[in-house]
Amino acid sequence: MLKITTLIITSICLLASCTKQDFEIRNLNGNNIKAFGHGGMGHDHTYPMNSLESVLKCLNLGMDGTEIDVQMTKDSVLIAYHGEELSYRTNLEGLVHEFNWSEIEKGLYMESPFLGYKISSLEQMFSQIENLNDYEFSLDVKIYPAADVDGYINTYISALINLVEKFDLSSHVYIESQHPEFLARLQSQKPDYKLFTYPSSFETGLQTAVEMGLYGISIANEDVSKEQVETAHKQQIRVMIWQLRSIASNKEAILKNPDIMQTDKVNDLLRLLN
Amino acid sequence: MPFYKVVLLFIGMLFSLNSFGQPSNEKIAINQIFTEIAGIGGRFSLNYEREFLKNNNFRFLLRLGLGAVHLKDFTNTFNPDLVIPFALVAAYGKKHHLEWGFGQTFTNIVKVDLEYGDKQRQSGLSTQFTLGYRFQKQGRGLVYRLVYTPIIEYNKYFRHWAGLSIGYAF
Repeated sequence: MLKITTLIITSICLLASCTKQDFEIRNLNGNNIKAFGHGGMGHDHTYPMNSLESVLKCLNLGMDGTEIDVQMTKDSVLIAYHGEELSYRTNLEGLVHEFNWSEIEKGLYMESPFLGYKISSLEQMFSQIENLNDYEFSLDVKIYPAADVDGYINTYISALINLVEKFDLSSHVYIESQHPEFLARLQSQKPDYKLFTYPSSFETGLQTAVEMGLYGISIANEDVSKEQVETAHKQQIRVMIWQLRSIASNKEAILKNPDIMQTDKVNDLLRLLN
Repeated sequence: MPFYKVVLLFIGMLFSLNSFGQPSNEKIAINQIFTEIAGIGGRFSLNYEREFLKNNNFRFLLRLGLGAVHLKDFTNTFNPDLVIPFALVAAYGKKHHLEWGFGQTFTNIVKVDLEYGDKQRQSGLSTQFTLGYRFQKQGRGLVYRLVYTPIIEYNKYFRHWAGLSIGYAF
């Protein structure tokens, strides 16, 4: 009898899930938090981060948008991929900028047996999303420089602008970078783009954002407090929080009043906010 | 209901079965049902195994499973991926067994057709091997397995993999 009772209680606990909670949100986004996936469905999902399947699943679940990690191939094609090394997640070996797109598009994500989803270019991705302008995207620009850093950054910026303009996405994308020089050059060409600095600490991020007149700061949950978010808001700087890998961290981040959250637990965040 | 919850409930049912089982295990059990975490079914699978030959301490079994990675596809529609492992297994021992085997896993996975932007199902066959430990009494009762299960995915990519199972023999 005890075993049956335990079984029933365990089942109820398993089936019960977190539900909507009322949060009093105060931010620069009309007091609403924009809910983004992290590379689609996040780090630990069976759809690999940044795969087209992961991004589509995230958007189809009802998220406002998603973060996408961006890298550039040797022939200047922007692809969606997270790590520096391709072997980290795929059956290829080497760095993204060492390969042409024609070589990378043959690669498969190998994180789970039998799944083998393909690596996607951003052009492919945006072409496949229905009602693209209903969503927003945060493009996390990864720069792993080749020999000619200067030329590499200029080419990267041209490729990015071409992509954004081709899909008429300028008001639907946020561009994040750890590289102030990249942000400065992009800003000089496209002052209306919404740029986020991706700093090592909140203080340096706020200073960079204020000095350069950026749109916001993109920062890990553990590196920012509610008070710091408020400080940024007072200076009209948006805050995008990431590294949200649990229900608890989703809740914790909501209480800090960010403008955008990039979560690895998409379903949980949707339940909390909707 | 997410697939992992189905698996956990299934494990719970197995424990319940054991609690209702008769203390005597005289009858030889030739059927097994078990759930496997990872292993030749990918991430999770439910399996049926039938012993078709027994010779002293050798058992020979056929195994058929069903795994599903996603029950809903990326458009959030019910459209499960199919993972169907089939294997021929041998086990040596009385209660503690050395187990080895080989087989094929058929997969049918829903992906994006990058050319036309639609869903497409991609089918494939992968070769898998099993080597490991199995705890199983002669009669009814719980079965435990811990096995190394290397997979040659689509007969191209080698993957080290392993599985952990709990099941019931009857």
